[in-house]
Amino acid sequence: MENIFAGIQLATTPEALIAILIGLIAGQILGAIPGLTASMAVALLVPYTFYLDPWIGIPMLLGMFKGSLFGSSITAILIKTPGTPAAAATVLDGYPLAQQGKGMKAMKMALYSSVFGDTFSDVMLIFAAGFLASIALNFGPPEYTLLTGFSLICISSLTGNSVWKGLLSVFLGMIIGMIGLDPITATPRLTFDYLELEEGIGLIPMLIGTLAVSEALRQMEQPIKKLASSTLSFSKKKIDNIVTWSEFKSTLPTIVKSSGLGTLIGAMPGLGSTIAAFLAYGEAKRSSKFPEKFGKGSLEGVAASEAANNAVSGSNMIPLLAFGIPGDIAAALIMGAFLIQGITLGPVVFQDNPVEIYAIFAALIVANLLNLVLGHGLIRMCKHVVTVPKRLLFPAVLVVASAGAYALRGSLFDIQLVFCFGILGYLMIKCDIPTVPMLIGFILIPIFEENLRITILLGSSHDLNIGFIFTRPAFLILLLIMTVASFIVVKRRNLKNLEKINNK
Amino acid sequence: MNINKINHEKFLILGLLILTLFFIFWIIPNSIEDPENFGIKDGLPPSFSAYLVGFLTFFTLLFQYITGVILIKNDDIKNDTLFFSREVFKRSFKIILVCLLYSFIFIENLGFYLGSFIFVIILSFLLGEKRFFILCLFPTLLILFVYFGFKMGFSIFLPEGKILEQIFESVLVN
Repeated sequence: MENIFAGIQLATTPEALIAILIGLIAGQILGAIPGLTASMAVALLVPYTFYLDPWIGIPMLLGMFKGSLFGSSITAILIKTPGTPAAAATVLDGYPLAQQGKGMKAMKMALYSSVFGDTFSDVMLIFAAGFLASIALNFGPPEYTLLTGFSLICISSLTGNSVWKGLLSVFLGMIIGMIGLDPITATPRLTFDYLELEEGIGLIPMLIGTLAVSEALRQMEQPIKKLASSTLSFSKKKIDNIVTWSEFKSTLPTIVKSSGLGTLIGAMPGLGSTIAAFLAYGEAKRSSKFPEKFGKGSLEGVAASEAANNAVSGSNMIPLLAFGIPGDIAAALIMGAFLIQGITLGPVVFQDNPVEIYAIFAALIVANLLNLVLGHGLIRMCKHVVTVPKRLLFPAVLVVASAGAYALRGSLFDIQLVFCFGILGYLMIKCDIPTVPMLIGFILIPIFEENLRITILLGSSHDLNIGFIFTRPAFLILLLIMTVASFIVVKRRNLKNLEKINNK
Repeated sequence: MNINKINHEKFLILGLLILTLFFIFWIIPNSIEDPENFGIKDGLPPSFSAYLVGFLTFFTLLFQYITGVILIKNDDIKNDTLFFSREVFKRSFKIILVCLLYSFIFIENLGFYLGSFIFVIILSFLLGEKRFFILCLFPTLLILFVYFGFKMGFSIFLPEGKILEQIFESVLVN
């Protein structure tokens, strides 16, 4: 109990609250700028958290992530440009509403359902992470090998449009993660006697390059069309600019259901917010009293996709906090920020840094409340934000990305890495190869490799050799859970249905 | 010039297969040296994971080539075009070239501030900004923002560049 109060105290100091506010404002504005995705915005901020006190940097990052998620729905609603792939589901009904002059109403519904979904999953995170972490403390190297292997397979096979491309991406990330000194024998691997490579590839330059630079390159290849503010028009009727209590009440069951679905999906590594948003949208349409309104400007449609995609953001921290395994890119970014501060997330963090963990939980809830308040302000000024010209925005993004990469280690090599990964990520996007599995593969390979090697070493001194893993109850239970989970996930993920919904 | 999707996939897989073989048979043996007499009882050798991932990649690609390209269903060939059109290729080539110049030459030689200033002007121009006033004003404001943010805010000193360093040194010597 003491730890809980200490954590709340840490997260509600004036400095931490100001940091959350700044993060939220910056996140909302950056997320609302067309072309700046939520992960891109956060990736740009991560290196700077090193220079801040951890309890200013981390709340700022959490605030920024939440803010940018909501900001990205604004572009989806107003100009049909989703800031994140997950917001693509919001376009389906948000944009038709905006065309009817009800953009304000759609944005407000998106805000309420986002905050609800986010808070719902944060509460689940608070209850589930500690419980799972206490179980994870009993895990040994064989269980961790299984868990990381399962996560790698899940992420590679469920991200993107084809399994082989996901696998290829994860393998590429694993190879990049092997560059540097071997963790056991200290033999250089894949370094070609290049001294800079012996330290290994930095996570932050890789994240910035793959998320921010590649996205900027992708956007810059397009012929620049002027984003005319005149295409944005808002109805003058009050009823078209607010969400009434009866409207909110009628969508509440959808919001609750979508939040639950998003939370469940977020807890599984690799599934991510895009699948959650489309599944929730499909489910809302299936169970709606007015399915014919979907795709033509249904508030329920906006609420379902927004609640689900935001609910993922809290629950995808469950595997991160409980097992030290980032479930998706948002969790990977947060993990990067913690690593910068010297905190390794995983089951022991609940024992070693309990106050910090409760402070994160408190910061998440505070950020949600402030997001609700600040979101109203952003909705009013969104007209100006969404019309920032890309031809000036992207050069600025690249300069800030370079400065951020350099700031962390003071190495020119990191700036070069940022651009190399940017180009690699861009080529991958062009070849329809997802980049997220590469990042997760890069992050997980040290954990996977170390545990695999220890498992084999343990097996060599056992009568049953490697077969000894099947004598471990924890391993067998985990294997059973994963087999059942894989079966459910594969069954649930009917991509053709998602595509059909998307195409409508 | 648009490349048909099926051809694109075929070339992509073939290219990646060649790269994977190159990785397995040239890169790994030449860049990972396993300690002598390193046996299974010492744990796995350092090259094990690289070979494992290399072979997994190879078999994934081979499987995809056989099932996805050789045994392709007619329905899948309907898919139209993607990848690079000539215009997109030209445009992205120029942008990537400028980015590489910036990261490998400009910053190292001209320093972060001057290098970024030139980079922003060139890139904004390539992206369609033709107004001279904006082309000068925007990078100036951006550089000032970065300078004050980094130097004043975080006390981070961004690279000054070899050329500027030499100029300063020669001024000091004289």
